[in-house]
Amino acid sequence: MTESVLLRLCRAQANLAETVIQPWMREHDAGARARLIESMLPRLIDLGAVLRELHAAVWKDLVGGGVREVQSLGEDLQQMWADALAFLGGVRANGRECLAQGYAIDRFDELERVVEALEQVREEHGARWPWIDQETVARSKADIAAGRCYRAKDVLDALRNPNH
Amino acid sequence: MRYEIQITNSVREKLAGLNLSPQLLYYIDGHLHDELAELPTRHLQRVRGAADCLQYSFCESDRAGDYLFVFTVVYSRDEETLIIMDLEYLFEAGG
Repeated sequence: MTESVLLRLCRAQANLAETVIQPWMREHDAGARARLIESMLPRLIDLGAVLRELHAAVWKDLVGGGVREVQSLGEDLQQMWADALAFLGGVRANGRECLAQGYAIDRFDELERVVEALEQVREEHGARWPWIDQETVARSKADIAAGRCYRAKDVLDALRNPNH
Repeated sequence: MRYEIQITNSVREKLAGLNLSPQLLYYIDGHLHDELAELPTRHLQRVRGAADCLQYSFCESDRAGDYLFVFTVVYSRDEETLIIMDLEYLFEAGG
């Protein structure tokens, strides 16, 4: 429950930042774009920190038993990491373009690190989350159709006492 | 009404491959039969989207660390049995 609220909050923050910044990205004057990006950087860096905090909090809660909708929350988070990376990656690409044209952006290196950290978060989330294994589910469907099902108690007893 | 809990052969093989301690297997037995079998509607969560199934999860610890177990479950046609279709788990080593 806590995660779903935090998730909505982070998503709202990211959407707000995106709504504010996206029109600026279409500004043709690179100097003006560089100044606008620079003015928004503290908020974007904070947003990155909040997203990383959410990631850490979710994992702590997950192993602590605080998450019930495991698959659904995992999918929501995966979507949020993708959206946040698309947005912040877009700002980074735009900023790099400005830098290449000779316009300085203070603290731009911090945005680079924010995006890199979020890329790691997305990779870790995708790789470690206990997703439903669709291959096992497909094999299980075949097992059910063929009657290859066993009482859980018998299976667990046999595993606990392999010599009996 | 107490539901029967069954495990498919694929999940049985997966479970065996995890080499869980007898203590953890005992805990799993307890959760499945004392919680899930007794009150499945309270403990099962519907998965939204394409998966269209139910999940049951719980955490346990042993000397090695903390575990999260996540079971994918369906009701059998007789509506008196719950069949486990998948098992995933997370492990965090103890500090």
